[in-house]
Amino acid sequence: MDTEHVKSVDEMDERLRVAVREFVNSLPADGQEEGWRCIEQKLYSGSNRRVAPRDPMRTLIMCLAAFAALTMLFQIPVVHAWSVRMIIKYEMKLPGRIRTFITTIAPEVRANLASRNRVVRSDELSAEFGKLAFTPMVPKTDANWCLEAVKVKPWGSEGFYVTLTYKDEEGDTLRLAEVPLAKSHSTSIFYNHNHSSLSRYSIRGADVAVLSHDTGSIIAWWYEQGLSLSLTYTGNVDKAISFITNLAPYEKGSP
Amino acid sequence: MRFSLCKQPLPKDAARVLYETYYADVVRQVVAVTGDVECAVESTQEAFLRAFERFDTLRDHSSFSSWVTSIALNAARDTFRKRGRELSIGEKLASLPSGNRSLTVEEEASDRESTYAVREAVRSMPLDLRTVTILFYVQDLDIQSISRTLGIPSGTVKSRLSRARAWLRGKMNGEECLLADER
Repeated sequence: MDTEHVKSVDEMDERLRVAVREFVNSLPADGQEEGWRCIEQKLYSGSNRRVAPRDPMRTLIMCLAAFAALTMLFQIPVVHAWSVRMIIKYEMKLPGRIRTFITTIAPEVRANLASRNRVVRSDELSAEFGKLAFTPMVPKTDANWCLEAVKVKPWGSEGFYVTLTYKDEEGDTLRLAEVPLAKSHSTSIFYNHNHSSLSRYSIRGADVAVLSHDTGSIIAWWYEQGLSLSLTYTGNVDKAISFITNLAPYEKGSP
Repeated sequence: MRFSLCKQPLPKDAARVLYETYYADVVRQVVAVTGDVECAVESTQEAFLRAFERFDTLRDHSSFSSWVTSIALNAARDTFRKRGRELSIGEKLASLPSGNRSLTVEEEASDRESTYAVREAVRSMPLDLRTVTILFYVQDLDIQSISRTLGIPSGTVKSRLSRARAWLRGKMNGEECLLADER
């Protein structure tokens, strides 16, 4: 009986199998050609070749490992010394962020890069300043700024005025104009309160006005040492203030 | 553990042969489960794409058909979940046209009757029973394989298969068939 029961169940199962398969085979099988074209395009075309996606975590770990290995390599004294020599010797002009990184791990490169990267040489600067009847203000150290240009132009009956153009590490331009004036003139300024703000700072006893716009452009002006100074810059206000704070009368032979 | 950043897909000519051989079977099975031709076509295409990319992970190449069917069924299930709705699968199955096959009048009548009976049986079957039915009766997978494919315990597979058999037999015999939990 049990055997017959099992046989009966198996026969029923076989009938079900046949019936289900017949039913499935009767269903539509659309999209074959377009499916193959899609696979061909994604897997086997030259430009859109798709491979199995990389594990992002594994990729991240490998990038970090490579970065750490390079940094550790740079710490090896022989490698370190050779790299610094190459950077200084060949006066490599490095992009701002890379220069910041290199000078962080190799501080001795900083001073050399600053002097090597300047476009205007000390002797040129000295020659231009020699035309002036006043002592201009310049940054005491230009580690973070690159002097790109110096222009000395006639200024009415006062003689000459000077414009200095600097670039910061991000490549933003700062211009400092210095005009000899016997005394300070009061200045009225109209500006859009919605998009600009006016601040005042006391630096070296001088009243420095700073007008900063939403767009990031900054104008600063003040009077000191018999000079009317004005500064334009597109960047961070703190960097502009730091630049102004760092100014000192030019000494021949200084950077 | 294999360590590889970048795998190469199956060569194109080999992929074409496998695709031509198995596409129709796979897509029909997914249609049988989902009742949605568009979804089945999308899921099947995606399944073949993934299978060809990861072909070297398949240990038994003779089980390619079941493997790609499993991928397609899981992809279809994911699609349903993303859509956030249980499609009216029964109604969709009922409205599907038959495949292209020339039959005599008698064959048509006979075929229509048995196919209709099975279609009705499968149509009215719950999705979980339908999936197990297709994998067991069409793919010839055993209980363990179905369990691995669907990610459910083998006891659950047995239970669903038993209920599916009872359902199919009852419908094909014209009996009112109730599931155990409906009694």
